[in-house]
Amino acid sequence: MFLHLYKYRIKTLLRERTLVFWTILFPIILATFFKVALGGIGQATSFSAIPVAVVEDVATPSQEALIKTLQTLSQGEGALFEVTFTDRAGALKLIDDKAVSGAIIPGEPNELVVFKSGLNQSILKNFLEQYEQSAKLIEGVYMTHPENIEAVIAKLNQDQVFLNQLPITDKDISGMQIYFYGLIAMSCLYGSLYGLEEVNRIQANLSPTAARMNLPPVHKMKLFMASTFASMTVHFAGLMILLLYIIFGLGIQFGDSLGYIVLVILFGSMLGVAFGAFVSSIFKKSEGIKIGVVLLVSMTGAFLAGMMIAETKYYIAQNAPIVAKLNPANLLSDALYSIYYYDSMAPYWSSLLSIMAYTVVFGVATYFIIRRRKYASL
Amino acid sequence: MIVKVNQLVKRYGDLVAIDHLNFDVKEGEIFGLLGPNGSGKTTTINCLLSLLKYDKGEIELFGKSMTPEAYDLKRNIGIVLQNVAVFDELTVYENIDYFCGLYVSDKAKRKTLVEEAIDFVGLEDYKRFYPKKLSGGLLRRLNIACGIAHQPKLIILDEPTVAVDPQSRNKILEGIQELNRRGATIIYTSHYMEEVEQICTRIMILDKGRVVATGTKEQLKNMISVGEKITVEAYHPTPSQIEAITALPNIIGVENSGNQIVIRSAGGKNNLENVLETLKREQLSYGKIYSELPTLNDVFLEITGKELRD
Repeated sequence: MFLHLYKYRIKTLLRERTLVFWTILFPIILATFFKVALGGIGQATSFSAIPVAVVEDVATPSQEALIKTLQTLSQGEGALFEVTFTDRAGALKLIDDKAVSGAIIPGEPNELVVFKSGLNQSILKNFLEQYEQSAKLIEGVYMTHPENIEAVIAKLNQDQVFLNQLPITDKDISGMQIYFYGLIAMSCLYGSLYGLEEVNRIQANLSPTAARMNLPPVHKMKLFMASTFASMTVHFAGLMILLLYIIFGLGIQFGDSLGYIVLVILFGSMLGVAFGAFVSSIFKKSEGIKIGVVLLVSMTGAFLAGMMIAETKYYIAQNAPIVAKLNPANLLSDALYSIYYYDSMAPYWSSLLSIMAYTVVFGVATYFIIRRRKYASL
Repeated sequence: MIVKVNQLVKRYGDLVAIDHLNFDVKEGEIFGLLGPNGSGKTTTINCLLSLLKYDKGEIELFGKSMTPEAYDLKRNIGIVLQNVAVFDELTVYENIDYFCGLYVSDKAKRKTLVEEAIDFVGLEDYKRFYPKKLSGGLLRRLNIACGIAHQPKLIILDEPTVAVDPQSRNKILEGIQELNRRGATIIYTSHYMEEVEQICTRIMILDKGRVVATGTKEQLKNMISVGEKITVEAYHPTPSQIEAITALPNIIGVENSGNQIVIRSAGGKNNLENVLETLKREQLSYGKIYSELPTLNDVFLEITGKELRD
C-alpha cells in the first residue's frame, strides 16, 4: 500500500509543471544568473600594485630615504606600488592622464597629489602618514637614545605592513560560494510548496479529491506520510540536481565540505516541506492565499537571513536576535555559512540540530491539526 | 439491512440541515434520495460516510456503527462524489488504478478490476488520456469508474449526472442498473425526478432536511389526490361540452384555454375512456389527445406546495 501511494505520488509530482518549475528549474535558472553576474568576484578581490608617480628631486637625506623606501616597496611579486619616477610636471601630467592613482612629492613636508578619493588613494595617504610618523620616531630616538636606534628600526620594519591577506579559514573556498549557499537555502524553503499541497490533498474540506482520499480503508496519516515522503524525495532530488549543476555545470567548487552541504540540503528539504504543511494546516484559506503566505514567509525569511543583502543578516543578529533565532531561513543559512566560516564544526551541528527541532515542531503541530477525522462542514 | 439511519440531526449553526432523519436501505435496492438543491441529500451522504460530524443520531452500515476508522465497512463502500474527484496529472487508467489500489493490494487482481471498470464505463479508448482532455460526460464516467472499480457491495452516487449530456446520462443510468443487477446495493441522490423514477426501486423525498415521503414510485403517487392528467387539443369547446367533461366521475378539474383542455383526475379507472366517449357524445372535434400519469413532481408539489425544482 505504502509503495502504491508513494509511486503514484512521485508520478503526480513530476507531472505538476508549475511545481517542477518553481522548485527545480527556477533555482537552476537563478544559479545561472548568479554565475553570470558574480563570475568576476574571485578576481576582484586580488590586489594589484598601485601606480604612483614620484617626483625625483632629491634635496635632503630624508627625501632620499623616502624614495628608497618607495623603490623597495615597488619590487618583487607582492609589490605595493608601481612607481614611475619623473619631475613635478611629468607627475602632474600622469595624474591628469589618470595613468597613476597619485603623485608623491618628497619635501618638507612630503606632498601627496591625487585626482579623486578611493582605495588606492587611501593606501597612499596611509603609507605617507605612517612613513612620516616612523621618520619622526627614528629622529627622536636618534637625538635622545642613539644606542637604541637599531632596535627601533628593526621593530618598525616588522610593523611596516600595509596590506596583508588574512585567511579566515584554511578551507579551499572562495567568496562566491556564499551566494550559492543562499540560493540553496532558499530552494530548501521552496519545499514548503510541496508540504502545502500534501495537506491540501488530504483535508476533506479543501477539495473533492481530498474528500475522496478520506473514504478508503486507509489511515489518514499513512496516506499523508507516504505522500509527504514522495514529496521530500522529489524535492531532495531537485536540490541534488541543483547542487550538481552548480558544481559541474557552473564550475563552483565547494571544497571538501560537500557532504556537510548535502546533509543541510536533506534536513533543509524536510524543514521546507514540514513548514509548508504546517502553514497549510493552520490557515483555513484558499490554496492561492496559502501559497502567498508560504512564499511571503520564505522570501521575508530569506531576506532577513541576508540572502539578498548580506549586511541584513548581521543587522538582524545584532538588533533582533530572537528574530534571527526563529527565522528558519536564517538557520539554514547559518548552517551553510558555518561550513564556510569556521574550522570547527560545532556551529554547523548546532544549526543542524535547530533545523531538525524546527522540523519536528512543524511536523507534530501539523499532525495534531490534520489528524481530525470528521469535519464540521465540507 | 445495508444502511440504517436513526434520528440523524445535523446543524450548521442555527440552520438545521438534517432534521431527525430516519431511513433504511435494504440489500439489493436502488434507493433514491430525491429533493431540491439544499434539501440535505449531500449532507446525509457525507454523514453516512463519516466525513461530517453530526449532532445527533445513529448510523449503521452492514449492521455496524459507521466511524472514520471502520475500515472493514469502508472496504465494501464505493462512492461517486457530486464533484469530479480525480487527479489531473494521472491518466484515466492510472486514476482508476490509484483509487482501486486504496482498497485492493493485490496487483494482478487490481489489474483485472481496473480493466473491468474501464470496460464498464466505456472508456477503453481513453485509457491513456489525461482528465483535462476528456469531455464532461467522459469525465463523469471516469469519476464513476474510480468509485466502483473495487466492486463494492454498497455504492453511493451523489448526483453523478449533473452537467452531463443526454447520451452520457443514459449510459450512466444503464450502468447503475447493471451494477445493481450484479449485486450492488445503490444509494442514488439526485434532483432530477425523471432519473430517480427511472432507476430507483425505492425513493425518499427530502425537503429542508426532513423526509417528505418514502416508498416505491407507485406508492408515492398513490399518496396524492392527483391522478391522470389528460390533455385534449380542441377548438373552442362550448360551456356545455366543458360541463359534460367536468361531470364525469373522478374528474377534479378542467381548464379550458380555447384550443386546449387540460383535465385532471383523482385516480380511479377508465378516466381516458370516459373522456373519449364524452367528446364523441358531445360531438366535440379534437386533434391530439394524450394522457400523463402523475410525476414525483406532482407528489412533491402536493405535499410541500412547491415545485421540486424551485
